[in-house]
Amino acid sequence: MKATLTGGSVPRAVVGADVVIVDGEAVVYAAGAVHALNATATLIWKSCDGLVALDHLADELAESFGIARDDARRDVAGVADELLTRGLITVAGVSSGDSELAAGSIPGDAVFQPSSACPGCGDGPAYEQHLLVAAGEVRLSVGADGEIADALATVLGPHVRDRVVAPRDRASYGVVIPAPSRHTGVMQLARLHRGPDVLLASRDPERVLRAVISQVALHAVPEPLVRLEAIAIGTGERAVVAVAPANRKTYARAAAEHGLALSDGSGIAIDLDSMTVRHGPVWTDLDLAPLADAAATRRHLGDEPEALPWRAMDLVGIAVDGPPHAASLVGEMGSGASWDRVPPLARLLDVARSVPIRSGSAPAQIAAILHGG
Amino acid sequence: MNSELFGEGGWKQTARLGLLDFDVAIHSDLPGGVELLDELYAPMRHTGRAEHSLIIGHAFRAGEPGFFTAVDGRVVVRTPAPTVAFAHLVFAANQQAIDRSPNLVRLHASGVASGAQVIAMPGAMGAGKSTLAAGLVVAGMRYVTDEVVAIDPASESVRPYGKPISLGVPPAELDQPAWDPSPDGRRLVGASGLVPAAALGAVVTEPLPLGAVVLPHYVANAVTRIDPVAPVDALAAIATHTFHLDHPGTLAALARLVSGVPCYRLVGGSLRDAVAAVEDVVGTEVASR
Repeated sequence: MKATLTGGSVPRAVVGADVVIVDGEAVVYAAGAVHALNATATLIWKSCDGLVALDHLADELAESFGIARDDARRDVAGVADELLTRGLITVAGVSSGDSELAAGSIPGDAVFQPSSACPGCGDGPAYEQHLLVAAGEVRLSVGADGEIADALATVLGPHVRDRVVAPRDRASYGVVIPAPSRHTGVMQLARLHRGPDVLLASRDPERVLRAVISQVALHAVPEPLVRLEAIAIGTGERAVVAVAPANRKTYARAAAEHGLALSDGSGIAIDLDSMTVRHGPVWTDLDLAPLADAAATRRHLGDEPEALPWRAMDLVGIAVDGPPHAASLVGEMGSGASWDRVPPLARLLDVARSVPIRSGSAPAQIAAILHGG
Repeated sequence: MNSELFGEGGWKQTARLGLLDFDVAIHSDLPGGVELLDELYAPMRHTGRAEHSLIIGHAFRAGEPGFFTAVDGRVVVRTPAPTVAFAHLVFAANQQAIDRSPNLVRLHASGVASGAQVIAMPGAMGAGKSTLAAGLVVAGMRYVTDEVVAIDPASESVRPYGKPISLGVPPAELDQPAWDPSPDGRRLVGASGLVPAAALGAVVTEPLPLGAVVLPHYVANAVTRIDPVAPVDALAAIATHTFHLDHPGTLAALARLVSGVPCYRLVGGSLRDAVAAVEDVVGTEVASR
């Protein structure tokens, strides 16, 4: 909405602008844009000190330059309108319509926008709400419907910095949890999305909610853990790290036939000190009870293979699809553009030196690694 | 030579490259990949061991063979297409050069040298920066860069950045560059129009002062004209095409560096006429300063 100034408005030049004056004319860099002001606009802008009303300023200029007061007031009002529209002045109670939080961002931080493994797939689902979450030094937006957003906000607590209703931007992550319905023609699975990509589809809503928490937490993996874009497959206290399969459902069933379970989501962390693999919220103790409560109100479509439990497991090996050396580890599991903070290459090479790397990531081959084959 | 990171197994690495302040070597297991990169980035070769690594190679993903590109272990793309991986590599190299040179004032501009002074040509994508630079180099000027004119505020000189020039589909007025990559190299370059700068003409390898600024604006079929730009408008226009202007002091440093440097706005749709206009106006101006 166009802001409205009056003669009584008391403008102030925007704080934090970078300005250079060339021959009495200003070049201003503010709010990500460059503005060239002519001499008149420069004089008016520099006079906006938060103390003088526009009409008073116009009267002073009229006297100084010997021009008619009405002309000066009209000119000053026009320039001030333009300066306000450009965000170069602020006036108490008047907005230019582009406040820092208008787009749902956290001031000073870019909210992570995921790239997609599926070019042309669009932005993914439209969510009722976005939670803006601080995960370590990263800012994420997590999309959900209102009730689920409430539950996620309760679990994430102070890590949630803001909430945007009817968001316009693409979510970093999002969950679609179908509501109970008498219609049984189509089974709608609960889904975890990163942009348009589906990271997990499950019959169990709680599993998806736990997975989104895990996914968010992996953005804040602390040292000395090294994060990989991969899954963990294991049994008991032992696990192998492998590339996330293209068809997780089929792969999980095949793994279950060998008595193996998979981690959910698309990331895991390796602790090189203890030689363990971890997934889930490794950065803080979160009370997940609200997730179970929220999931109980949604459709649970039946059983499916269990996910790997959230605990540290002994790392037995890494399974790659290419040759069994460090380059395959980097190429197949190096954190992708979807991650903001990434392990330095040296850390990945540490992993390659510390953990046996084997070729082949089919469940039977993983089982052979786990059982010492 | 074999890659320091991945040793045997077909992995090799380029010479150490100085892409502005980005100190890097590129590792690859793609046939002909390192040879191609060494040729494309030849003007920026150094001796010694690089601090950073770019990687392009084969990778499997969910069982499917493909290619990946990584910066210091951060994978920026996995793709079944070698040309896509290579395009990301070239983009990442340039982006890292920009981001890792914070002590330089970096204009989104092409640059050529006329005599011992640089003509910077800032503009948005599609303005005609690279094509105009290529035309001027073919006409006898020396190539500085087609993407980032980086000025050292301390020495007030432009740092050479002789990256490969990206011409897309070159205009008919520009003769085809005399460069024929190997079949392996062609598999990676694809139809990007990327050529080594040396294929067009001489390449600057030493710092030079800034002599003039031309703001190109390609408009199909437009009559070519070149006009001087007032200092405040020039600064505003150049600032608009400056990377990381949000870094404190950048605007003031830029103002100091371009103060007194003549600036022109060039509009046109003919490369031949644009080259002539720059030679007539800017060449004369630079020579007289």
